[in-house]
Amino acid sequence: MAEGDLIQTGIAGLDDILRAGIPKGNVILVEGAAGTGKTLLGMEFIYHGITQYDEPGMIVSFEVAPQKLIRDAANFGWDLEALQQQNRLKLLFTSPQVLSQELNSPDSLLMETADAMGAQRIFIDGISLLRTVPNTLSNGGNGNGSDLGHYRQLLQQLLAGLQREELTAILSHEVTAIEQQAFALEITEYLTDTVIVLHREPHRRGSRRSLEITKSRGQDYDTGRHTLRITAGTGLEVFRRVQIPPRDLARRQPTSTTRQSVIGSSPLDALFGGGVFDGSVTMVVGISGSGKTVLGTQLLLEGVANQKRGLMVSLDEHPEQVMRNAETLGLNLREHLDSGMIQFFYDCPRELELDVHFAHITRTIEAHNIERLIVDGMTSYTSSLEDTQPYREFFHALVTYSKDRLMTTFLSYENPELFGVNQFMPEFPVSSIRHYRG
Amino acid sequence: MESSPPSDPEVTGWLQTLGVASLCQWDVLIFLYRHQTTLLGTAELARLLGYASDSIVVALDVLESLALVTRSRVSQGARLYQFGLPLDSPRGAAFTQLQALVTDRAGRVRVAQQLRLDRTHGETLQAAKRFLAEAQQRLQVVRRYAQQREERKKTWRKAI
Repeated sequence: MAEGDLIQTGIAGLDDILRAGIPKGNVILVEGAAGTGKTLLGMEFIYHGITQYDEPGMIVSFEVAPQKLIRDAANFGWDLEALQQQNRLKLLFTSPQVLSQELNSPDSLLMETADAMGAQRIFIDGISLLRTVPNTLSNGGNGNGSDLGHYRQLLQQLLAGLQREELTAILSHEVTAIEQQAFALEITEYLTDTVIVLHREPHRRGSRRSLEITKSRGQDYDTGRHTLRITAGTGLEVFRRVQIPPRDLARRQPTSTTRQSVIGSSPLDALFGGGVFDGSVTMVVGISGSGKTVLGTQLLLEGVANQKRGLMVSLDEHPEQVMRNAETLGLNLREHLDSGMIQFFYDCPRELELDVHFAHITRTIEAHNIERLIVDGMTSYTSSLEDTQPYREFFHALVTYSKDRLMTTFLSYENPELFGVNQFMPEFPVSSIRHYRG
Repeated sequence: MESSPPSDPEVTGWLQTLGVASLCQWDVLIFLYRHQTTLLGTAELARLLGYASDSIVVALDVLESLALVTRSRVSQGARLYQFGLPLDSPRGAAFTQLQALVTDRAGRVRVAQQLRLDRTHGETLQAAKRFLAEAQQRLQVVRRYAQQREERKKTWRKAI
């Protein structure tokens, strides 16, 4: 689909998993339980539409006072009040009853307002409340099946109205365990063009958010659950799930025959048959204190000596600790960290979110044109993740990414039982395994 | 340092500057301010605010005459209501002070104490005018109907 036929949400990461945006004219349903971020997503869609794409918008609310929306938006640095004063945004409070009447009206005040400001986007928060509009043609709404028929009719009128007015709409719908509500949601899913499901689930004693696109007419998109974060001062950010296969399946993985010295030591290079290939992934295995981190540090320093930028990823040690330890061995890591030739990325293993972690690694690699990568060490991932599947998915993705960029990658793995049974022993294609004894 | 709460004469002064005299008027005004642009019928406004429908109608008449609120034409029984006071005017400044005061319960109580719970003279006058206008409208309808009926009778008499 041509880019001009797509509408961008402007929400960080979302347009990427939508492969550049949503087809113009699609009506988007955002569904989720309370607290999943539906209102925020709709609000951000409108805000970015105005500020990034010069598309004025309206937010229609049935329950939340617009003043609260203004207050909440201010927490993300979005000045909705100023946009209203510029007549590029309209926050409208109404009732489902009035909205449904307006949709039937040829001289609708809602559409008149939309026309007057040149609105191109609209967000209707809590579309499920249309279900509460009594059916004046039948029995006034008694909770039976005909009410759902009436709801379907109202929704069809709404969608027709939006299509007639050429408005790109996001409708939010809550997910509850109430049977009638669930039926209403199903109807809404059928009638809308794009369905985005937001989840918030317990994770150990914390909770995690995710986003899934379950339907989008007229386009391809990245399937599965992607990590969703709400960050104060920024807004929503979607992190593509790490195990998604490359989009271009016909593309061949690059390979190199160029060898590089590991740490500038000929005997070690000889063990590798003359150095490591560009694009190779080596797993360094050894017990604690056998020198895995030191080897990684030396690998980075050797890279710097050859004008190759490096990145060390650690869940164990903070940069200061690694630099201090390196200095005791006469290795000056600090100088290269200061100059930007070496980057250090530390992530807390306690609440590790793999999609976010992976995104941070790849962004650092791309921002600094990294050619040597050290992950120190894999063991911390095993204790952090508890489950083998995400662990494997993460390392598969990391190895594939690293090979695609022809990076020299070393993964350290603390395993006193190298050839014994270890439930987290990964199964993915590394180029070589080196065993270090203390 | 926290500023000291305003005195009662200050609160009274702000309300007088604004022209708001009853609690119903104040509640409608602050509702419309918080809801930015409201598309509702008066019955729904009354339900949301907990007042009788006719009280809301009268309060809206007063607020509109004070240029505090703007109203659109009627569409399907609903209107677009908007807070219409420029905040950079002296009345706007009075509103800003009052609005800041009612952000907590104690402030709300203080403002409520300064306002009449029953109808003001202005509101009673507005209500009487509205009643008179509606009665005149109905009277016209009845007269028209009676006239049509008389004409139909004449036609029948001629035919017979």
